Amino acid sequence: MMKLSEVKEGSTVKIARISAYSDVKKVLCEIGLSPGRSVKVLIKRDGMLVVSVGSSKFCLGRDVADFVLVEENTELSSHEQNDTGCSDRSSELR
Amino acid sequence: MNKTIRVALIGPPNSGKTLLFNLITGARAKVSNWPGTTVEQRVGYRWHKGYKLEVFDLPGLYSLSGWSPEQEVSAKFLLEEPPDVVVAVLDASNLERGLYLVLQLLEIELKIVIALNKIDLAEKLGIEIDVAKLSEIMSCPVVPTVATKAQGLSALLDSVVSVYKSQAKSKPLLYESVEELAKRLMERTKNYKELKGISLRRLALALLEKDRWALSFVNRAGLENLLEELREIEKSQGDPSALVAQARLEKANSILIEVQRTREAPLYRLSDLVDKAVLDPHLSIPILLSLFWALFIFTFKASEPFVELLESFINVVSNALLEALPQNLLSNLIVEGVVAGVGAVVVLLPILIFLFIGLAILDDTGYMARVSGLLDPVASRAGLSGRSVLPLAVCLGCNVVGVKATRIISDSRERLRTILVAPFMSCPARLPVYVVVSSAVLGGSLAPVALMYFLSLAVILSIALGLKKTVIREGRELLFTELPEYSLPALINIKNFVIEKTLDFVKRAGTVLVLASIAVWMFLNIGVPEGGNVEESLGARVAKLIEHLFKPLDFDWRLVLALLSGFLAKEVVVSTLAIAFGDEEERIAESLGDYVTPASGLAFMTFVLLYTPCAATIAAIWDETKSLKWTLFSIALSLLVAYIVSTIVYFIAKAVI
Repeated sequence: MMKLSEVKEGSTVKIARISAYSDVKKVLCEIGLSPGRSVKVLIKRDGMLVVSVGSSKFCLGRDVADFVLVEENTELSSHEQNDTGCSDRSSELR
Repeated sequence: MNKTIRVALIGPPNSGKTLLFNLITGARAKVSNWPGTTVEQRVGYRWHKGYKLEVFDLPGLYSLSGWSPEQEVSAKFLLEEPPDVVVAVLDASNLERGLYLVLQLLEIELKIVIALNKIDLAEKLGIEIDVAKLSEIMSCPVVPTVATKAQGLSALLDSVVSVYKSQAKSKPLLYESVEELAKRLMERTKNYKELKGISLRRLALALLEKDRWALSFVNRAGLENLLEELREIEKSQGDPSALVAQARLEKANSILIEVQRTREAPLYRLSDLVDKAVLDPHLSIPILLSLFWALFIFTFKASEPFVELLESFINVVSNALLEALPQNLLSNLIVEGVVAGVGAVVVLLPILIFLFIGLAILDDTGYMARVSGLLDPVASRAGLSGRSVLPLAVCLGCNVVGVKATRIISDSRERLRTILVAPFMSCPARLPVYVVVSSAVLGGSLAPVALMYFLSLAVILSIALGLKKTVIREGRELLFTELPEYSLPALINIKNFVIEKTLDFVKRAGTVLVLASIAVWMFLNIGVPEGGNVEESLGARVAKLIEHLFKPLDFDWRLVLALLSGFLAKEVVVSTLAIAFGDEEERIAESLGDYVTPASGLAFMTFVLLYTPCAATIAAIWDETKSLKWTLFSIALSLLVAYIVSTIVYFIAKAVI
């Protein structure tokens, strides 16, 4: 697992976890940066990132990108991801 | 029969909501603040099929629950004064982004119409949406629209009226994973008459999310019972706040899979190609600089003929008044105080209007969102953020309007830092001072004038950093800006942006500046006997009193007097210089050259750039911070910075020239 801010330009990764306090975590989830989603880093410079998620593009500041922990994208068919887990405890409760 | 329908427009940012609002209401929107906040409220009207639609434009939001004042205002409005019909504006090319918000709206059990906007773009991108299916799932009408071409507008309004007339409200969709918890809270709400008319399930879900509106509502109503239950849930289950968000996301995702099909996507998107250049590591900054340079040139070149026209018009008026009125103190006040004051404000209008047109175009095409991303790394090192860029650019037109524009920054500390550095941005009222002084004592080259603009940027960045390191620590606007598809600017959006900002200037700056001009006139005329010299005025006496403070800069009392009157409004600096040096404004340059050295001329320009811009800006800072402490701090800061920096400039200039 690594931070989204450490991902190389041009690569696609999968969001594993958002390591922020709950307010920020929720906001990121609401705009679509939720665990399970794949993210492509389009542009990276001076800590600023432009990423695409689904059909939108976002510009993320460095500190936001530091919150997002990602892992290498193993499966290529990423776009029908159903797991939108924003909560780490979701499975226990169901 | 009550024929007014209260309609609220809501939707995520970049869904085309503002354009739709502008199209529905035309130019008849009323802009004010939501009660008790600095969040802007736009209300407009439209007659349709015999009904008067009162349309509220809610802020662009991804979600209703959260910590921003915009979210709290919207949540409060929808729940406590529910509109008759809510129009949810969604971007069909990015449906996923809007479904979350619609689910929250459904929880409130309002009458909803979905405007599926940008349907043409979706088609172009190979996205097909089953409109009938979406309408069935959401139990509300879905109307495809293309706001940029004004398509689907009357169908949308028809739906609003028919939904209003029908009895059926849309039904909330259940989220299996949290329904149980919500029910536990809902059971505790029985017997509270405070909750009449409030959607209980929405309240319960919002409480689980620890939504700011919900917590404040429950506290206000004194519903201890509910808080107790919430604490109990937390004790046994852990923090439930993310669970609700997750449940909604899952629901949104499953709806998306049902209604949306993606055909073969096009090989490239035009926006992506443009972004390749605009965000390119080597090209981006040259592109940005040339666009802002073009904006600058456009502003001053396009406004020039209008400024000249207005100037000669005001000349004609004051000459006519001078002839018509008897020579006395009152007529003097009218001509030199009131007319000159109003005139100075009026001639700024063309410059402002063209700058705002330029900024509106940059914003509406989608470029501004990129600029905030591009400049964020630099700005964040200085304790600002990409989001400070637009307000600071507006300051180039008028500091007053710029200070107000800082409202787009949601972090309060970062906003305060931006407000405090905003007055260092050079507004058009300061430009004549540079031009006159530079041509009088510096040989009339443009370099000293350009230097002022660079100096202004340098001061802004270093003071913002200084503030962050000392008095206003921490606070960081988290930057996650959606980059919308590039689009041609919509005329009506530009028109409304310009009218709104210009009215801000006229209302907030205009009145104060006219009063300030009258005050300056009195300052320069009180104590002067008939036929006497300005040297005997109250102002001159004060100026001589503090003259020795400016000895290091080699300013004599006349320059100090100009600075004193400029404290109220920069427009009067040049005219005060003319009075003080006993000369006509046109020939002021010549006489200044006899008294002022080049080094102290440059120091004077620097001082004018950096010290308190005008009384109206002070009023605006007071208005936006609601704090006497920070308003006084801002005045002290700008005076101190002006003094220190112009002293440095003076000594460097003395050594060099």
